[in-house]
Amino acid sequence: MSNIERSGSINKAFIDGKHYFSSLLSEASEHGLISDNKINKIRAECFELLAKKSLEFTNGKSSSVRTEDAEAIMNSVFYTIGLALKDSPSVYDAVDIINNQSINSIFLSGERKLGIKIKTARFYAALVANTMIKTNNYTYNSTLNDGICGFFKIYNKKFGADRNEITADYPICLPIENLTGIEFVCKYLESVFYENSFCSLFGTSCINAILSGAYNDTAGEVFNIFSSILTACLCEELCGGNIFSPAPNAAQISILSEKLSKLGIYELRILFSEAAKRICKKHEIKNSAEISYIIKASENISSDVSRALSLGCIDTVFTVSKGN
Amino acid sequence: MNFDIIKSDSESSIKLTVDKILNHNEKLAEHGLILSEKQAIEIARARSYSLVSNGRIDFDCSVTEMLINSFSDSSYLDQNSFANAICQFTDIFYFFKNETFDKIDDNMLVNIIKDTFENECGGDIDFVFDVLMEKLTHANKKNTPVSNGDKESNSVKH
Repeated sequence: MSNIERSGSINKAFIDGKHYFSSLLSEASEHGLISDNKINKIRAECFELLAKKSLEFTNGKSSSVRTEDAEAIMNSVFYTIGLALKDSPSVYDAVDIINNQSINSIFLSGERKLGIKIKTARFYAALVANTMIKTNNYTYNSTLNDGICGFFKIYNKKFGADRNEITADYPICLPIENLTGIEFVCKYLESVFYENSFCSLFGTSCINAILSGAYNDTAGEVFNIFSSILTACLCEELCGGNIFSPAPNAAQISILSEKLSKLGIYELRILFSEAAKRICKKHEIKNSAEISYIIKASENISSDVSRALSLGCIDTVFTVSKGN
Repeated sequence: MNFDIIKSDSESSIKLTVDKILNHNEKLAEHGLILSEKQAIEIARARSYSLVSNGRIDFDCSVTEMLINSFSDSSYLDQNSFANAICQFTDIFYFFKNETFDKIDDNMLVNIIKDTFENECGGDIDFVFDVLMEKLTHANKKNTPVSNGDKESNSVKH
């Protein structure tokens, strides 16, 4: 890094994943990692880049744009710069890049990353398409069939890279926070792929029986399918039942609830994550990212169980399969 | 830290515009016109005010320069009225840039304003706004771009 002494540690919590570049600048400036002179230079370089991009936006036919268009283009440029910086091993390396490279070269690097992210998102979209669950759930089908295709048609990597041009109405088990644009879509599709892969271990009738037990209107209600299937599977695993064709019954749920009610939230978390690990092993799931996703989802389910037990409504988490 | 880079009315931006405006004096002299530094500052401030009030950002002062060049040979403007007229045309320009949804490129819009001022309004600036508004309403009804008579219009497509 140039001639600036590091005077404190950057608090990662203050760095907004959706506005990575500007929040990193803010934090780095506050801790003296970027000088005021450098900030002014960056501002001038960003303005120059914004001018260039705005001229592209008007096909070179107008030197001015509406303020809201300029802001949108600027957000897109900053997002693209943020993509380049996020790849750094640490926030300090990202700050070093800002101090030592021109904004234009960081932006160009971000554009390359953006291109790769779009390809990765397309790859996950293809995987999702190949692992679709046969269900009548409207939100699931409309989001993953129409919504995803629509996204790739209208996503504007030049002037709207930061935008989520997708109606991701179908909720995933682990909600995505702090990401936007192609990063959000990539993560969303990756998550859906893990969820679909897990659900594809079970037959359509098994899945439909679990969902019918949990929801009155499986076609119209908005819910996460994977979460219900994993919960049923965890229920079977913790009861010593059949995890290959889970179909929890009232007796199993009653015994399990009795057993779990004696445990604290931390013990429940350990119990559920260990059960998830055993399920992954028995189903011979090899993808470590998918295993991590399932474990994390199981931990979330354990929190729901803890809350439901304290409220006396465990039947909202563990539901009887209609296959019984 | 507020990292807002969209600030069109900064002093450095005004100074840059003033310098560019004053560079036109040599050409303006051919038409018996000259802009003083005070007038150049007035035009630059009017440009800045117009951009803010019309909710636009301009990355250079090419529009102001185009207006100065285009109106320098106007038969209705003289040394006394030129600077003030450029201020008003600047506001008309940015207003109609918005009203036409950026579909008319800069060059064409300047030509339309000039043509309207010279040939339809008899040099009355106040009238230019009304005539252009009427043209725009007419064009919207017919769903055609605003044009300056027979000259082909050149649209910006996003």
